Amino acid sequence: MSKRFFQNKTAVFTTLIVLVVALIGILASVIAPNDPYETNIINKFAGCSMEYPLGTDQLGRCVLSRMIYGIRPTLGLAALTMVGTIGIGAVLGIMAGYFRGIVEEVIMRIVDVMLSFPSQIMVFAVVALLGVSVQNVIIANVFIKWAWYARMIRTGVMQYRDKNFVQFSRCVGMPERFILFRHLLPSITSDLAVLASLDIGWAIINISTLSFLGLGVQAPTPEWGAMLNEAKEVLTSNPTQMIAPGIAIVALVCCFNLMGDALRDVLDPKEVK
Amino acid sequence: MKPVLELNQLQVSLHSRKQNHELVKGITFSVMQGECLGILGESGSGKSMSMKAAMGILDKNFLVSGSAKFGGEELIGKNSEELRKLRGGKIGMVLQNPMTCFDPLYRIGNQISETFMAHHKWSTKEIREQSIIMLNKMQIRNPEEVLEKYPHQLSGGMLQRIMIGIATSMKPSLLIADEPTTAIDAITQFEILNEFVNIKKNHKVAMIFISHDLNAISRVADRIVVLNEGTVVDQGDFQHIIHHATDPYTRLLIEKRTDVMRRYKLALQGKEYSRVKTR
Repeated sequence: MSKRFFQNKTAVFTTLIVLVVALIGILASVIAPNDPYETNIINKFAGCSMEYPLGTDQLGRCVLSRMIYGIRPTLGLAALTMVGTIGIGAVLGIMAGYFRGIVEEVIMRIVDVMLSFPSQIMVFAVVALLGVSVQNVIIANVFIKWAWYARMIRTGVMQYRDKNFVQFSRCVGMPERFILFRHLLPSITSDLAVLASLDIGWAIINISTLSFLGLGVQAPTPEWGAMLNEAKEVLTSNPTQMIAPGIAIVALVCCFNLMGDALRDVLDPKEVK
Repeated sequence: MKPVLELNQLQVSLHSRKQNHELVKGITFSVMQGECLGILGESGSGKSMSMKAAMGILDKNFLVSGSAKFGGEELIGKNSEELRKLRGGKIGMVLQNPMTCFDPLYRIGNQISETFMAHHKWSTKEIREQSIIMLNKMQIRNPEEVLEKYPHQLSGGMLQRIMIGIATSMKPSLLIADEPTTAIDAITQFEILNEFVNIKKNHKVAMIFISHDLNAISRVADRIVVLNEGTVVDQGDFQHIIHHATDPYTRLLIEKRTDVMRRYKLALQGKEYSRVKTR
């Protein structure tokens, strides 16, 4: 497995980027050249310089430092959302796919109801209902997205539950619990990994969107989406302030999507040599 | 002598919202110790279905009624935990299509130890030793190497032999072979059948051999039950089935089979075949 991972250039490259970005975020206090909250109104909209590598924003804060500190909420919240959606989706999807019958009917009808609402509008509705805060953004994202994953994971489980090796395991008298964890879960891990990395990209965009609209992370906390929001007033006069977080979001989301693709190739058990 | 497995009016029906679909319509037979019972029938005649029903590995959607007694114990309606302990332990099963019966994600050794773990409290070392003993018994070369391999690296015949090995290593009193030779080429089929004959001779187990292949079944079975559309249409030994079958379906089956055999023999003799053809 690890050998095939290292042979796949895309997988190694994208994972490396993600890890480096995460590391920079974790070590933000060491790496960032300036305090991201320190305002200096006299020095606003400064160009690139040694002290402010990407210039300053409308309040004279260092854009680069804010970008670096912005990794924490951007990536952290996205990861939290991903864990939440995949977790709920996996548990319910596996239950629906494996136990069938009434359990499946109930779960899948709820999923159908969830899927019938347009997701973006549901997020706004939930945030409006619960109030604007970071916590509610995550709850809203998990709440509207789990149904997608429950459905996809159920399909994966159904594909494997009638496979001969599961039958055989049943024939030699293994308990259902064992079959679930030993045979079904590993079989769908590759699907899960791909879903997770694609989902985290989606979550980054969604959280940034909400922050951009002022419904997510609140000022003055640096977050890429919120930074875009602050920069939109000065789009023409000071484009660096907009371009930096914009490119960062695009690059990171692309990275996660490519990683999802590459991971699928790596994890595909049919290609074990 | 008491029969090892006794089925009495076993019925299976598929329960769906609109209607009840009867799949097995009351079959009755029994197997003694040291005997091999062949169950013959075409696809969809309820062969595997009836055995799966008795073992309790069918879905909840299937309704099972009647009685299946294993060593005097009623299996139908028994709770699933007790049935699970019987399966693999007292009752061994060999399934068709060995290529798909092993989880492609695990090495052969892990799959073997899965069964061992379910029924014994052995340490990893003991499991490994027992696996190697078992593989040696099944005449598999380089057993240590085979344990480290993934299923797709081995041939179907080898996998099937490993599966038979797993089933017999638990010393079952009943061995159910569900079309064990269907997905295997002729030469390996021959070896596998020999394996079954050996098991019958050496282990004194009761065996149920399910197949649609008259040829395979004639080699191992002492007694044959013919199923058609979920009912027993004929039973008796091989000679009886071949010459004195009363049921039209059985006769049709045998007629077709012997017809194929005759052509095959003619083809072997080559010359005569062409003569027959031109005539």
